[in-house]
Amino acid sequence: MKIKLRGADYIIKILELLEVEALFAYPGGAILPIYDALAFSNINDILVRHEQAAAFAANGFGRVKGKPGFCLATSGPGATNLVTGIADAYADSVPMIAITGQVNLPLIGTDAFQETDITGICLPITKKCYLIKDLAHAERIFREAYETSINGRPGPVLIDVPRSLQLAFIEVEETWEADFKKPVFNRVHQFSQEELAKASQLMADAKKPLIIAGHGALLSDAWQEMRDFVKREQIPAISTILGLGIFETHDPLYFSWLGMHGMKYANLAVQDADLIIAMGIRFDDRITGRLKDFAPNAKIIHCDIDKSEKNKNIKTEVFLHGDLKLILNELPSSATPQSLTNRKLWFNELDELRDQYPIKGVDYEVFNMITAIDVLEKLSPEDIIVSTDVGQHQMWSGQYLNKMHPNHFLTSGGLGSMGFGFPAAMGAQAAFPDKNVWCITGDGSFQMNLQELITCVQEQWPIKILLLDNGYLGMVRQWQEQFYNKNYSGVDILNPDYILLAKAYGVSSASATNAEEMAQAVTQAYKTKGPFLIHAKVLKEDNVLPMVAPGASLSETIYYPQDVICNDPILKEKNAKKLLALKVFAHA
Amino acid sequence: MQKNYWRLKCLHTPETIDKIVMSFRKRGLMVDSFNYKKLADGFSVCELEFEEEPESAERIRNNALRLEDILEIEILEIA
Repeated sequence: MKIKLRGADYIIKILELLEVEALFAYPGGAILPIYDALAFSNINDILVRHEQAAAFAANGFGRVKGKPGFCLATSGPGATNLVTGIADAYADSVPMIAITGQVNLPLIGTDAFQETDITGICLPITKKCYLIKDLAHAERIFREAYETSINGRPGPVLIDVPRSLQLAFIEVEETWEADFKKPVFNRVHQFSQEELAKASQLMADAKKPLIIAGHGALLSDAWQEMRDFVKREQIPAISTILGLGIFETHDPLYFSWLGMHGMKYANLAVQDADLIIAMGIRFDDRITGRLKDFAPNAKIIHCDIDKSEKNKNIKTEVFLHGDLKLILNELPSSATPQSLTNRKLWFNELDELRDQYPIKGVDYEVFNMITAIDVLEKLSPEDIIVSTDVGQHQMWSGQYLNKMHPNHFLTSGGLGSMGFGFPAAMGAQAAFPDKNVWCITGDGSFQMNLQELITCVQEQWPIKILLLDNGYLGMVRQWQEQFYNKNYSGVDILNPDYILLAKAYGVSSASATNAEEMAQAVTQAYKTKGPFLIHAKVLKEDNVLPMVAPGASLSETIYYPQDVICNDPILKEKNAKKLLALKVFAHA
Repeated sequence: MQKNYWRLKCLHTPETIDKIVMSFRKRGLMVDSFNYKKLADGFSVCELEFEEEPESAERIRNNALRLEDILEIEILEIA
């Protein structure tokens, strides 16, 4: 027996069958029939205040949840406003599905009101784009889109739905819902036993093997296998910034993250290694530095889900194509008495490097971004989710947040999109309503999507925002200081009164100008049920170090000036006492 | 410069041709000849010719292989 359904109702039902939990959306003419149907659905549709935020929120949801985040916009400007968030998801391989309204099918190509070729625009920044031309194809297209988004190397997919199809009717079997099959995640296994054996032999022969683990390890949910592998093989490991959370920061086998603002000892480890085992990374220029001088002594084993990564930036000895979880489970042990002895010596070398080039110590007497981030972390529970924006605060968050769980540190790595942090936090909060979600942002980035404060109020999301205000576009200023002869141009940013702004939006807030006020503000934030903004007025000019200058080699990582205290036991003791006092003070 | 002759096996979709040329276009490069043909069962084949340095050609190949609708790239000839 057949039943008749309106296109819009049919599509919403498909979304329900795909178990869409949250839909970050903004209405408009070409998507109104969908909205009409949405009113009768149990899907949580969230009215953002700008479509870019919808895309970033879906992106954040996808990152934290490991399944596609969904966003929805109307045609024309609604659709084009999604573009940055989609491009960001493509750059970082995040599963996400964007649905756009399109003008009526017969109007496409007439330059109709709010018509844009959104599938054409998104072609280079999506895994796949669909324009639905026949309602009979809708179910297949949505299933395919979901499957494409999660399988292989994850990424965004766009589905463009003409308004005329939303209003059209389709006849389907009465049992279609029961017959609907939600796509499942299939792990790719394209590597051979010979390749595994070759990789294992390279590991056994190496004197200085080093694992570099990236976002792929989190995307394939292989972080536990990675930890087990490192422990079993006793091979030292580092990660990329997007790989934060794969390892526990205090694991002695883990030597932090590499790259432009990674640890100097991690960068030097790469340069000294004789074997790099790259797992779920793509050798981005921000981690390799000058490509021709990357890991000059090392052979490379590269494990990745995407075959196009093979030899893309770095030539490899062995490329293991497949899902990291499967690779890690199948890689035979390379631990022999000789290799274990070699690895122990290598560990000792790396430990010495770590002692020689530690990260700068936190000094609670100075209120800079580092102090603010450190106080936040020290007063927070173990499993907070943190999203960052892009800039200096992003790098310091990566350097000083030490207890990130897997998939709990959300940051825009590949595209580096300012404005990402706050809406991504919304996506994370929608995914995990009971978790503590923080957005650490800068005064430049926050102003790109601060309109979403009211969305948080409307949704009653208790997102906490740490706004680090130095009155500058800090990272750009730093580059102008270092590479443009201190010719500051376009970086001195005037800020609104954020406390008044928060009040106008109905958001509780507090200011902090020192560590004591910061501690008090964090405590107040945790006591507040709704969203909370901490406006931290921090040191104006400060540089993120270590740093690999653009075009330089990892060997040339710039370390702190000599007068910067890095590992002073007296300062550590002083800070510990102060922290205790802060905790008491804050709770009082 | 070398002449590259490639054969691509693809899925036949509305995006396929755009995707094939995208890997060239995004680097400001041009294709010298292009012959696309629909096959049975939703597949297609495309033979193309372009002039480019070997390293650059390899990057185009890698970029193209990331794309969903491009299944295989066979290098027919390098001259």
